[in-house]
Amino acid sequence: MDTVLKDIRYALRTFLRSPGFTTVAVASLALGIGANTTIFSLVNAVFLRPIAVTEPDRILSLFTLDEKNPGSHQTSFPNYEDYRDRNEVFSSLVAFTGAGLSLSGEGQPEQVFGLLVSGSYFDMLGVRPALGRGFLPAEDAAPGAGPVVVLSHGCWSRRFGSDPRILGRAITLNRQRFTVVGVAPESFRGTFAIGGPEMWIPLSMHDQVLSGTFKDWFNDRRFLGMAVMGRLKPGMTTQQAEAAMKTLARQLEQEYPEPNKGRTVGLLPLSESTINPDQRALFLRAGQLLMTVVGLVLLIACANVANLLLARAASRRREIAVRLSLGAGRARLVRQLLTESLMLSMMGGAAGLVLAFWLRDLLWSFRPPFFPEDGLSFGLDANVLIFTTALSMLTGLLFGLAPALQASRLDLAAAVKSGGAAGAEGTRRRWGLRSVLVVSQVALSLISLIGAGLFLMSLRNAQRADLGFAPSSLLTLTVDPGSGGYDEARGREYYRAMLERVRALPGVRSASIAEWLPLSGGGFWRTVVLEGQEPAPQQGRVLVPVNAVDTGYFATIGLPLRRGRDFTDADRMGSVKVVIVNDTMAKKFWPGADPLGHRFKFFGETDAVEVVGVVGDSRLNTVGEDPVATAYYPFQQNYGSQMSLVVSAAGDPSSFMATVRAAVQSGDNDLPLTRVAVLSDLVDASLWASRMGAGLLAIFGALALTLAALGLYGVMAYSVSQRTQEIGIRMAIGARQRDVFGLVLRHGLRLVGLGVTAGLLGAFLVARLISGLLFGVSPAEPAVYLGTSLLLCLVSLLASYIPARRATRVDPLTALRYE
Amino acid sequence: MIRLRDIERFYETPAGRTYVLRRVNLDVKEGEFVTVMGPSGAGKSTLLAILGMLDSAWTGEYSLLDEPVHTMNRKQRAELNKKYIGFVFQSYHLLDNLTVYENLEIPLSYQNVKAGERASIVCDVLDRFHIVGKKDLYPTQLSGGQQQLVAVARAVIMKPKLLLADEPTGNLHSSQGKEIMDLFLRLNEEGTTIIQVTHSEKNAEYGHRLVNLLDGWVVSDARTARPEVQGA
Repeated sequence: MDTVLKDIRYALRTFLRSPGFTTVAVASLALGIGANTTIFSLVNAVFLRPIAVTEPDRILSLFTLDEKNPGSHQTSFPNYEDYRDRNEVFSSLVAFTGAGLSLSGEGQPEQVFGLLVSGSYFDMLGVRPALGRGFLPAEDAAPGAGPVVVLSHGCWSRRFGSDPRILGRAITLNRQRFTVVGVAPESFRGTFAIGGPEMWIPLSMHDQVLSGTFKDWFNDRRFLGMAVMGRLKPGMTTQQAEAAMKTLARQLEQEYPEPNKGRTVGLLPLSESTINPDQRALFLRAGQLLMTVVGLVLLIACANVANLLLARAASRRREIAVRLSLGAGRARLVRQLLTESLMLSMMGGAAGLVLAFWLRDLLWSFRPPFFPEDGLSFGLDANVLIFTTALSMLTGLLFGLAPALQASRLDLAAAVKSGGAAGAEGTRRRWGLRSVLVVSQVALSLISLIGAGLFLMSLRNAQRADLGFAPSSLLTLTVDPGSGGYDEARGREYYRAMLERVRALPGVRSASIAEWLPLSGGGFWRTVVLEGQEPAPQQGRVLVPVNAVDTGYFATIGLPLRRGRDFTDADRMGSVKVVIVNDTMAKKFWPGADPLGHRFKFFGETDAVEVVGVVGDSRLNTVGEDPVATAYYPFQQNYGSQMSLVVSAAGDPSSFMATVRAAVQSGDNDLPLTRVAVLSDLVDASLWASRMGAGLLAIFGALALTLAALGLYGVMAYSVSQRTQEIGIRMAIGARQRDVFGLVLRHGLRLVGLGVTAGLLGAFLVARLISGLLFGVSPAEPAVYLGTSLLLCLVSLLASYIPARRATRVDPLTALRYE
Repeated sequence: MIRLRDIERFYETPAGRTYVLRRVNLDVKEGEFVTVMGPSGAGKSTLLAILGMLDSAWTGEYSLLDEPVHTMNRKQRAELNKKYIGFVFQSYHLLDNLTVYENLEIPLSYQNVKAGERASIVCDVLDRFHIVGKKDLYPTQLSGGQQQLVAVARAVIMKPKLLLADEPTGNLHSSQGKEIMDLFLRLNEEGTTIIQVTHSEKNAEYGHRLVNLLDGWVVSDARTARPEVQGA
């Protein structure tokens, strides 16, 4: 212990005496470890940190599986009730669903995200409110029985100033009075990894807070609108529970064949359902990609520090030789050198931890637009600290072991005789470990830069892609009169009057409303059942997204009408039900035929709808996706409470924003407006994946390039210092300055050449893994590979230039006396 | 104390074998002060390196205190070295990042001597060599002679039976060199066997024997007339 302390003290003294080396080494490690810590803290928050509930491993999520529609779906409310009442494997089974709530009264009206939950929700999760209570059984026993609310801690502090007297206070949600009965603990933000509700309301209040289609179909056994979760009974295993629930699902399929045909259930642990299972794979891949990228950066940083240590080891040959001659065993020596490495890496880790706080904010700024700013808390917890400490120690071993082993294996007699000079040895070992490290650094930098280049090109292509409409001239905002207590009749009148006011504004070319806009993820999906023919297997009971739109929508947004007609005022309640389909749906359901005049039903409807028009395709989720079969029906025949206004204006649409907003709000100032934006901004926001990939890879690529350049400069400078005598001799026998310059530069370029070759090969292999995330770019895009290689060569040339210039200034006389 | 039989050291080069030492036979008794001289390239330092177990690529037989070094592996030789041998280098080879005190302490630390005992031994040596006032200085803060003094102190701190010195005064002024040689004489009189390599005939006079090397061969091995201790 005493000798370990001595080694530590000696190491500190050595670092203080070499501030330049220490600064560069610690800074390199801080960058590498800091980047890794940041990404890990994100991965930890999303995937590893358990939700703040009691015994989370005993809680399972229940999903509906539909043989015709792959993926994990939610469950219908009637089915949930049967599962709840008839199962014997869960001690408690709860359901919940999200709802946009209009919070008004004191302060600005605000749209908040709330959850309608079963009465036993908090009890099942084992969550004790920080203030007050959860819900009582009576509050969820009958419709309308529970006008009470539990606030999230964040909402309580943000909106209500952490008022300790909040309990019993009445707040207005969707123009209804609710009494605050509890405040959730700060650590509980629902069962979601990202985001979370601002408040919880009993499910019994669904009729009061839901609106439109969701409200109408709440009790429809086919409508999959509820998330379901339960706590296993003691002693029950997941496998047993799943088998039992599948049996129940089969019974429900037999009892209610129409809505439940082809459907069963599956169970997932809570830890795997904090993100929608269908999106979890994407998130995992993104997490893996990020960890790989920052892992590369750390490797480059390690190579840098290893190079520095190797150079220092060369200058410490005399010291090592003396220690060996004084009786130090090799193991003892390696231990001393490793202690120095570990101390460097721990200092780098500590600095990296500090850097991670800043990098975290930078990383979060790249988040997808649907993540709220306070949607994730990824700060320092035990997992992150353990990760950083372990990574620091591993890093210290990684970059310290090779130099330590190499340093301890020297020719003792030669070392003490020569006094530690390594001139001749430096010449012989031109292609030693240091050169290998520099080549690796160059290769890894190039891989990062090529990744960044591919994403940047993908982003550029996505921004220029033909979306089927012109977003830059369109304004949009979303409003939900249903959340303000408007019934259907008042809601229709609200929208009629709103459109009348907006269309009358000077400069507005056209305006319309739609249930959802392109690239917003779509709305409800409904099952299509073709009329008049036996459905072929691939067409029967297939779900398509449906969009309720008003007259003039397609002209406003710029979607071309291919055949048939647009909706008119004649398409209203009581008239023939009509739809307009897009090109993809036309080809899918009526291949080779004209769909006009064809009829089909949406599942659950008695009346068939007739196809009256075909419009061009747009995009549902992302710019790069394949078009999705989509159906549009007239708003007048299918009222939806929450609608998005879309306005086409002459000139810069952002200059109309305030006017349009005022025109809408003049209808009802208490209705909050959301997603107020120029449509092109929303489109841009949908490119978050490409932007994040490009941004992060560019940052990390630049980091890697800087480290590689530093590494190359270090190797070149060291090489020149070791070859001073050789250079002096060459000059003494006639070499000119440019001969010496070329000699040194060629060495550097050889290293870079090897690194670039290895990097191009590695990038080609790695790029194939991200090809699914690219839009309009081949993973072997020549322009990117060539451009980044040239950039790297240029930077490397600069890094080699200074040492090469220095070499030309060697005084032969001094050099020949050089030891 | 030391027995060398047919010691040879050579290097393989593209031109063939280059011998540094050829069939060296040498016996050194305990308490002797032996000087090894010869022109540059004679093999003097190589001989010293072999005796000090810094060089292991030699052939022949080498016994130290009846221990057959030639049959030992590297670890066993290192143990023997630590136990019996102290080495003084021409370039002092002090550790620049350690104070005088720490430089003296380090061989004790490598011998796993306990901390308390180490402190006591170091203080004793500092006192003996009259360098107590310099214990917290770094080597770069000392003169050449002072550095070599510290190097000698470090070499003898474990009370080695054999002290090897390679050109100990080569980098010193004549007065500093005399100081060091007088010190060697004192150590020898106290019982330490000393083998020194030197170009200086004046330094050679301090020893009992003079061994001359030429082109790797021992060409002469004769007793000297040891003068009175100078400057005592």
